[in-house]
Amino acid sequence: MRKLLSANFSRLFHSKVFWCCWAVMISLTAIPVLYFNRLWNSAQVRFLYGGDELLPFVSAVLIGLFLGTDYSNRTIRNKLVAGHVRRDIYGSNWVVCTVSVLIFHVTSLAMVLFLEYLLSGSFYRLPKNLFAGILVSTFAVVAVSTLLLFVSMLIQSRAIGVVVTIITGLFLYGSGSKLRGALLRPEYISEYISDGKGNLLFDGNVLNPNYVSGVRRDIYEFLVDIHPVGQILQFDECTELPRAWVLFPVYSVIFTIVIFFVGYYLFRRKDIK
Amino acid sequence: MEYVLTTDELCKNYKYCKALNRLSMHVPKGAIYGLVGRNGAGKTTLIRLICGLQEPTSGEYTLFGRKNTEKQVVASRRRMGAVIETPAVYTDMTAVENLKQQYRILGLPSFEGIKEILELVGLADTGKKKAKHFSFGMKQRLGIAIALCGDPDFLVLDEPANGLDPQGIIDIRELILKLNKERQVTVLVSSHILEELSKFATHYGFVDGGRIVKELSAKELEASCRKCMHVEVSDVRILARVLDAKGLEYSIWSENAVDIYAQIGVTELVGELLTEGCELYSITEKDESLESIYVSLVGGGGDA
Repeated sequence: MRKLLSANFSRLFHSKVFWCCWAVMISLTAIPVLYFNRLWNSAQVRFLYGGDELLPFVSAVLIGLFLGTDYSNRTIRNKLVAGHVRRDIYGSNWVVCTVSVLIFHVTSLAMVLFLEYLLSGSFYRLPKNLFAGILVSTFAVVAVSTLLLFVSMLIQSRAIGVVVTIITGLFLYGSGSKLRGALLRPEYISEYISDGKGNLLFDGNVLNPNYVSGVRRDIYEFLVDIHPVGQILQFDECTELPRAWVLFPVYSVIFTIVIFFVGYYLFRRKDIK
Repeated sequence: MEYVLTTDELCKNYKYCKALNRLSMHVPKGAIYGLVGRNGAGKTTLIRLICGLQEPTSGEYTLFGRKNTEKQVVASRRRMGAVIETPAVYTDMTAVENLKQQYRILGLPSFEGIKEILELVGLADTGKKKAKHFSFGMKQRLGIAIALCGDPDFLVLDEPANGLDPQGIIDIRELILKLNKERQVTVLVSSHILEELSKFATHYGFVDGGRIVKELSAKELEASCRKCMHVEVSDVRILARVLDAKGLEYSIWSENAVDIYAQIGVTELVGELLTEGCELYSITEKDESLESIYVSLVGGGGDA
């Protein structure tokens, strides 16, 4: 596998797609921080992990194109004919994709922290919260990378592979946001009535009909806890640590292992053209 | 005799078809083995199986004495190079970068020998030109160059002359002959260009319907090529009637041409044709061609 890693990393770092994606990632992380700092005079808003929210899209483009090239150029054949087994091909692709995604993650985190300190002179979050957030987000992005690899390795067309991995990235972000958004709905909402003169008068608090409660809330909370993007979003806005955050890396590891082995099993049985 | 590759009742089924149907073949060491068959006969499927891209549905093959079911077959696979259908090259890399990439995949300690390989295939002067700007023939040569990295003992080429101009076809033929004679590389070549194959193949395997119909050495093929008389007439039906009456074996090539596989008196034949009102344009003596043997083995044109 060492030979495949050498070949893959060489191709990755010579790839314009990788550097473009990295540049896009840095820009999309830095620009909102600078913009909102100018708007609200505070960089210490919800953008500590803002880069990671965008990571599923950017990673999907990179992974889809990087792995899709092997299929579209048929160069995956060269690896098989050279005697490499499917386990090593899948494993080396996983390592390279994960490392590239971690590079995006670390540099965007570093960018946010750097800008936060530069603009406000301090870090908003407590060291413990900061450490927890970095730990959880790191495991979460590895899980995201594993899922995108799984999708890309099973599609032998680069064009279709890129589209499907981007859709997967969109789905990850969308589903995580939806779950998180549902849980953030308040239990009570304020009701207002008109006095007939165009003024709104407060009429008290009523139960929010869209509030998620009971067993459904428990299910949503569990899903958002195991969802990689859901985990990242839980650290985004809160100054307090999410409940049971210690389990988040464990969920991400389980997610990664399951998806990795299912993907490997399916890839191993695949007829390569 | 030592064999580099043998297959034993190899089968490969896809969802809607049976591509290989108990195919058994033997590629002797040091041979240039020509795999001959029409479109869809199973040539490329066979090559994909022996290169490890796909697993057989049943049956087995042996590569350098190791069965495909053994784990050590990967060591045998390291001794082979292959170009399957379209050449597998990174289009955003130059020729040298492509070969360097293959060297890394093979785990070779240095990039020594790249220049020689490119000279061998005629791509030494491509410089910084990326493979996406290569002509098809150049990409084909680059694919062969990649297959030659690591000094393989067994080279598998799937229709290497496909899409090449006449000079390119000659170059590929001479390259194959050079590798076989100077480096004792065993070569498996699949091709449709039968006449071209006959110029360098030492063994033949005729494939039809997913199985080997016949395996011959070049010497055996030469011996089995029958002498015949090639006759051109104004009406082949009249000629056929005359030959049927005499009980002679023949094959019709066109509305005007027939090959007669028997000795026949020319004077007698001319007389009988004139009586029936058929003109005789020409008679030439020739050997049965690879093409006619192929047709007799696997049937007439079209795809399988």
